[in-house]
Amino acid sequence: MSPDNDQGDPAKGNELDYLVESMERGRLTRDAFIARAGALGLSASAIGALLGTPSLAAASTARASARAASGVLTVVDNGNGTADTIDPHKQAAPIDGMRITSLYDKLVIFTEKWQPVPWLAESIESTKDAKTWTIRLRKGVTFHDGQPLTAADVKFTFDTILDPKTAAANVNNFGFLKGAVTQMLDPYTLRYKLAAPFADAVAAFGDPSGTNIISHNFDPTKANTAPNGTGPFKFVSFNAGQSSVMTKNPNYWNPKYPLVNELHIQDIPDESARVNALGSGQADLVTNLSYSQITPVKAAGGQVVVIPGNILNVICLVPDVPPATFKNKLVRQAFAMSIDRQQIVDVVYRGLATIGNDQPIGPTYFNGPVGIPVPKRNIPRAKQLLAKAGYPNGIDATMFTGAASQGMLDFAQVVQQQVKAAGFRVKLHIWPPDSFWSDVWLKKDFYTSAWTQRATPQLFLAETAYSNGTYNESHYRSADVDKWLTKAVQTTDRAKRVKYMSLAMAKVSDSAQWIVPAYGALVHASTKSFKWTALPPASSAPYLYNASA
Amino acid sequence: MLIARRLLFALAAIFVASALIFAATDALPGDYATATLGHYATAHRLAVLRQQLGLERPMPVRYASWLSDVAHGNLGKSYTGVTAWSLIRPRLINSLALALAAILFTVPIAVALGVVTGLRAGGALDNASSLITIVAVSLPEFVIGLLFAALFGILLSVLPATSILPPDSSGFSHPRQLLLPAAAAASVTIGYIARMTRAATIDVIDSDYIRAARLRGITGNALIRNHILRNALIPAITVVGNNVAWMLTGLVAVELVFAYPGLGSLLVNGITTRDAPLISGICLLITIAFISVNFITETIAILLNPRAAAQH
Repeated sequence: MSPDNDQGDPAKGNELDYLVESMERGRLTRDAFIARAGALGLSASAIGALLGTPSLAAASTARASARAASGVLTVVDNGNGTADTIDPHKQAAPIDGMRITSLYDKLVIFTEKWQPVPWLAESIESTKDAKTWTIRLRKGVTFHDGQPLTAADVKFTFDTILDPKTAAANVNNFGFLKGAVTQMLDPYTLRYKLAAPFADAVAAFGDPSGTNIISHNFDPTKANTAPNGTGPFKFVSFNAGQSSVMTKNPNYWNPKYPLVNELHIQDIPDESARVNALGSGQADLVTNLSYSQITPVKAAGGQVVVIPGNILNVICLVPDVPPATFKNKLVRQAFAMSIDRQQIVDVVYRGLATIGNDQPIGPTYFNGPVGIPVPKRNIPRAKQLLAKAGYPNGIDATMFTGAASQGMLDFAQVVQQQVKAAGFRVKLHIWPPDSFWSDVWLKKDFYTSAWTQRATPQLFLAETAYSNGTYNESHYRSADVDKWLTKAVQTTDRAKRVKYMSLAMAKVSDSAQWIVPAYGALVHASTKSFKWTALPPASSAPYLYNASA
Repeated sequence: MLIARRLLFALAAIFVASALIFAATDALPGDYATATLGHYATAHRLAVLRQQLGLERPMPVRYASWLSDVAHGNLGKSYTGVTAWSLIRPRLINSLALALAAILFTVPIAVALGVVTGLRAGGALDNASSLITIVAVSLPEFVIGLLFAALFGILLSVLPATSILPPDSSGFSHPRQLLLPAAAAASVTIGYIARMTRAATIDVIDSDYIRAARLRGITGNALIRNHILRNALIPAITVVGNNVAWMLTGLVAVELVFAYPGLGSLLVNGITTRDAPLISGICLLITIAFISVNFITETIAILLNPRAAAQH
């Protein structure tokens, strides 16, 4: 069935659920079911699918099909409970991002391979020196309240993000706009003259943690109760910690989308409950699945959607935080050499990863580094290095870890066992997940960390690899790396960007302060009928405008 | 006098409990800002949120502020920006629906099982029942919940595997969603209450007044109904009452397994986000619920037992 044919009246969803349930429970005969489903406008093939369920086990599929036929898409993920938000400046959990991206639009979005696609912007062009950027907006776009989108809204959006009073979650993406001169060329064209060259502006505008365009009369006090975006879905209701309901935006600028009439996004804290919701036909899509849940999903009749990405579990060997166990580079290199990376790919990532080389930019990044060798496991050599560093009998260390992200604890346990052979006697200090990021991350000397993919290497590294980066978790500091990363982000010449990136990341890898054994794929789970017309990029807050159940 | 004393005790208990809860929440690592702004929160964002919520004030000041809200008849303002009561109210209704559903499962089965096995202690039925109830009590309710969800929700697909409720509705309006979580919760309480009732029945049968009743020629159903049941049910009523109060927040595991939006999961959420006013508000309600239930069950027990009534 074509997406357009799938779309009926959303109110039919409940009625169909009721009919299916009545038939299952014997309150409705087959003939009566056909008559009433037909009266609802359900096609013969859809009725056939519902009646063709050969067993009770298939009834859940029928229930999901009935909901899908009425145009309802139900997505589940874990959130922040009562702290869930749909305020476009406060996004914290991926579920927030999914909701916000459904209500609002960005200037650009990305393909699965992180190629930018013009979205609210018809074009974004720069001068060769990457100092002047011109944004031309699509005409005919309206906010949900009927006001047209203009350049004034875009200017207001960035001014609001840069305003310290907003304390916007995504402000780090827009440092390049500080000190820029803004010109409104016409109601649909905006020009920024930057203080310094910045070649990554397009990526910054579309990054998953990037910006959503708000109206110039945006009211932050109503952000959670009456959001007004240009997005594919309009607000119906939002209960933090539970559910949000959105309905199709009939005036959406792209008439092909969205593909469903109603979007329900449900916050379910427990992952087994999320998988059960999928198995029983109560949900169509479970986002951000743990690798360990792949088998239960398949057993429950679901499908697993694998999107190649840069999901990282890393170990930070911080040389300058007491007790400074890893101050000596030889000790860090011995540690890196003790790790069996293939085993981590197989066990922690269930095979859905590529081997890492101790720098955080994997092969799914466009403009990423090339030619950096993978440290091979070599236990005799690791022992030699340890002895040379003054530890002929091995070394004791405490690694801080916890269930703070998917697979982190499994990862820490596997590494603990692997490095034992070289003489690293690692004790795991398992920290509660709810305070891991506030009390361990950026504070301890030896700990695990985790990251998801950003739109470009520079957006990620600006925060993590610069000597003064806000999230420089391994305390790696190098004037050379700072210089190369700056050169990379200031040129629009792709070959030069890759060259500078490779130089910088080779040096990071050699330092062995950031142990990155693998680059993992992002995994979602869905019913067999769920599909995206084009896969979203490996973002934990995937687009839903082109999803259908 | 008794009621006044109880009320005074309740107020003191509430005061002490809320102060302890506030202090304990404060002692936990992290705060609401670090717990909710996530991995990538900048120092500036953390500072702005702390300033907005007044998190930088000393704990006793924040506690006094919350206490003042309570004195004015509300449960204070959650750090999420809305009143704690607006978060608690729908969850409380849902938890009441779940607790009542679980009790509806529990009481008839547990009391019948307890009395029958007590009357025939040592028989085949008693032995079989003992084995089953020990297994049921031993298995955590979330394990039973997962089994029920897999069996009835996915394999047979006759009931929803998760108990998600539509927006602005409660468990009372969706009884079908309650069946599996209520059955999982009841699986634990049935075993416990059945064993309590059985023990009480055996005690009553061995008592002097039952022997006296038999000597007076009272036998059969009349003896069971008027003399044995009436006395054997007294401990069961207290246990049932306490179970209702416990179920309001104690079914966290069941709520999580079935994604049921109850008060227990809200409390866990409050703890993980360090939302001290929300945690204190819920605990205040639970303290009141326990005290009220104790009071009601003791009153019923007194009414059922003329000797106890005479003592009071």
